Amino acid sequence: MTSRTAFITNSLRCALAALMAALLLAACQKPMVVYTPTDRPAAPPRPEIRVPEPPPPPPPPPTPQQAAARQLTEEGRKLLGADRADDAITVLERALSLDAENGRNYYFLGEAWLRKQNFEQAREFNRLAELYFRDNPEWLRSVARQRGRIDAGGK
Amino acid sequence: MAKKATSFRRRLIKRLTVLLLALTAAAIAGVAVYAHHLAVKIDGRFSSRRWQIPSTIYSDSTLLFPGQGRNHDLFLAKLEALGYRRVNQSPALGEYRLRPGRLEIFLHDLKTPSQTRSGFPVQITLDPNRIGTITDQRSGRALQLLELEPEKIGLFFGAAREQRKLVAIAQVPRPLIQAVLAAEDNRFYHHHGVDPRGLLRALWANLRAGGIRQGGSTITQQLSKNYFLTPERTLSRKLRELLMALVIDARYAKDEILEIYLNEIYLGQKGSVSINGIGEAADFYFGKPVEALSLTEGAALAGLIKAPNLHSPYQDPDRCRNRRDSVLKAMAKNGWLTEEQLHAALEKPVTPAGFRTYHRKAPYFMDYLSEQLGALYSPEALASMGMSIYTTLDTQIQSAAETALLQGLARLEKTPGLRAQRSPANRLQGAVIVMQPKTGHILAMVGGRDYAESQFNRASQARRQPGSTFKPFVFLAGLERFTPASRLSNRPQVYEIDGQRWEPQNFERETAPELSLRQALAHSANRATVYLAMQTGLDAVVATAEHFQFSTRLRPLPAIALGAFEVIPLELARAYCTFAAGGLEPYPLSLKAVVNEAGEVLERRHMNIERVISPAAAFIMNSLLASVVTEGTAASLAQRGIRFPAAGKTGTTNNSRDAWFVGYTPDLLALVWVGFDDGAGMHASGASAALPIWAELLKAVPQTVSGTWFSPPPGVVQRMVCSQSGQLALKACPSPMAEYFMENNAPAAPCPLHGRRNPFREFFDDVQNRLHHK
Repeated sequence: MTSRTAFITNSLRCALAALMAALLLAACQKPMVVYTPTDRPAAPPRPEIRVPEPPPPPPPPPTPQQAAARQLTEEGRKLLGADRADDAITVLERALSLDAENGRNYYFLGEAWLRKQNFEQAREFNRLAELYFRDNPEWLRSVARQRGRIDAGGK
Repeated sequence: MAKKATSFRRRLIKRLTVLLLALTAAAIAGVAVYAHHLAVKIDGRFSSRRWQIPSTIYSDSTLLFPGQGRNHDLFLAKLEALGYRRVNQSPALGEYRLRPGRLEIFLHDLKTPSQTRSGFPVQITLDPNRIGTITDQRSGRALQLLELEPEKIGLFFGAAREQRKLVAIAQVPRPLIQAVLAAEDNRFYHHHGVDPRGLLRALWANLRAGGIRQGGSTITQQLSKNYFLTPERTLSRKLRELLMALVIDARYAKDEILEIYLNEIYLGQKGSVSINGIGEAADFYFGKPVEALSLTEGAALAGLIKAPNLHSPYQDPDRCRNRRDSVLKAMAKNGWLTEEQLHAALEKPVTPAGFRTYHRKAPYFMDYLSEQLGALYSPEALASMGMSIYTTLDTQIQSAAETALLQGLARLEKTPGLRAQRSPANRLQGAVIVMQPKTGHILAMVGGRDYAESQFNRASQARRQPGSTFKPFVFLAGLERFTPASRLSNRPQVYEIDGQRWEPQNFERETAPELSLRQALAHSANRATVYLAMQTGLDAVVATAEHFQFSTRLRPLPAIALGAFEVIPLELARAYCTFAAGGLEPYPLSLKAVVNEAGEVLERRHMNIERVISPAAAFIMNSLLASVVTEGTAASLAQRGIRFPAAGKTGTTNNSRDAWFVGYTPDLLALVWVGFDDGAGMHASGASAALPIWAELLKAVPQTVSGTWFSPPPGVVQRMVCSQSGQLALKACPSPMAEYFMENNAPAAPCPLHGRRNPFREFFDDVQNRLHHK
């Protein structure tokens, strides 16, 4: 090995070592701070003993408008129970005009359209029920069962 | 000779007798045949449909609940339109009392295709501009919801222009029947259709008076005359009337004859429409169903039969009362009232409900409805079958829309530029459509400033360029590739179209070379919008817009970005509903149900929805269009008193031919268009001409505004981004801002403008981001 070759090899080794050192340094460097919507500091490490979390706060009481809509939804449900699907839809549509985020209302509308064998409309309302019940596992199961009946009927 | 003469006389007498007998037999046979002919005719008429009854059109019912906003004047006008009478004592059925801080109403019965409810008394406490509580006064129970009956808004008349409300004899109170008998035919239950005693009495009275003063007609004769005969006074007609009365009496029960008579009689005039039958008259004169009429009200109605317009309480209250008193006295004379009852009744005044003409409400809406109904029923059926047609119209919103448009146009006409252009033949016009975005119900429709002047419905028939109100569909198409924080070029740019040079200009003096997508829509920047459309692809813009089912053909030209293709205002309103309805486009509905006379539902129309865009895309569009209201071209809404969250878009076409504003909340969407029919310019923009009308309308209907806003659905995330780069904000970014994104195209890279450039750090961040988003 000539001295020239050795020089090049050593230079390459040094460069490689420097590169490795730089990469190591970069990896250890504090990452760039990206804003989050709340801009909270990072959560502290989890303690060893898990403290039971407090129960979630109760849902806020319904507004008078929501209460009025719920009364209509209940009327719609009863009409559905009495096999008056058309009357139920009329009443449930009124409820929808007062509160468009009530999953029960969409569920019963889906049910009413299912009774009328309009599977397309039933499916749309079932999807809406799923959307508004996304945090309610119990209702989501009912919505999934309804979807099964819609799919079976629509085939 | 004498014997021969006697024999000849005998033979002559005998022959004459035979001839007379033969003639008499022939006459009897003729009368019998004619009576049979009449009987067939009468049976035919009585067994088939007896009257032509116009179909009645109703508004939607009105929902009231605690905490609901309230326009005091419109609400009281609604009660009056529903036929409630204002009183100062405790209200009876169909009455209301207004006291400081509260309202007492004795509700009418409610009858809709889906429910029936008897009337009951309620008390509504009134907070300033809101409903406080609603209490059922029978039980003291607080109500969460109260439904007022649908309002009658029009009738489909035939050529006869008669109105009647049929009643069964069992519904008619006994005192009313007795009053009618006392006034017209007190021996009705004792004669056989013709009353010889009555005829003799009339003859004697007429002889004494030296002219015709009394007819002596029985109720059955009157029925024959009104129902089958012409009104001329000839002997032959009188004979036919007598014969017909005898036939009717022989073939029909007395109660049946009386029921037909009570439904047939003419009882006055309501404008150009005649009031026929006791049922309609009870409503017209006293605002009540016939069952609820008191003794004195019944006597007043019975008194009208003789000369309805002369004795009408609306024409001459004193004459009406005198006639009523004479009927009451006749009742006492027949033993149907005691002396005490008579004296008590004579003390009472006649208090009619208040004259209500058949004012044609919401005429443009009615025309639109008629078009829809035309596919179901012939005009003859609508004018004769007595159907009840239930619609989606909200009369309070309709009234507010009409007022806002008229006032807005009048205000505009005071501006110097417009005053010069005014001419009676070409006045400034406008249209307003109000819809419920979730259901597609048309709550109000105003198709022009004066229906009497022009019946052209600018809301549903006009085709006008939408201008910038079309931009949201361009931005929606752009959301596939861009985000609300994406930077768009706003620099002058020349485009080649069919060999022609076209350089879009901005309406506002917005000269920033770059804008975020949100800013571009908020400020309606034309250059940035065309840039976005070109980057997105014009075919993609057309494809997106076509999902909204505009009936006009859209072509992939750059000018589409600025709304150069014509649209029908109702279709534009419907398309905007999709944003407010979370991506579901509703079918515009005006008809809810058709019910026949027997109460059977013949037709129903329900909301019909179709998913056009994802809930996430709809939410982003709502958020972008809210910026138009908070900081963009519609920011003047705040100065006009709109304090609740709203979204919308202004629009102005070339030379200010059209001024638009489409605005909405989660509860209500309203579109306003202003312009000239001939397309003349008006030197006004959407923000200065249409937006103020929208603001006045929304302020007038606080009951429809809940003040809520849309919640982010799954698929929407919020990130802090650098307002200059549109990428994730860093500590060093001078103006970070929160922005909503669709999860699938939220920015993942940090701001490239304000970070230290460390290639190794970027390499690690990139690896980290890739792993994170895998």
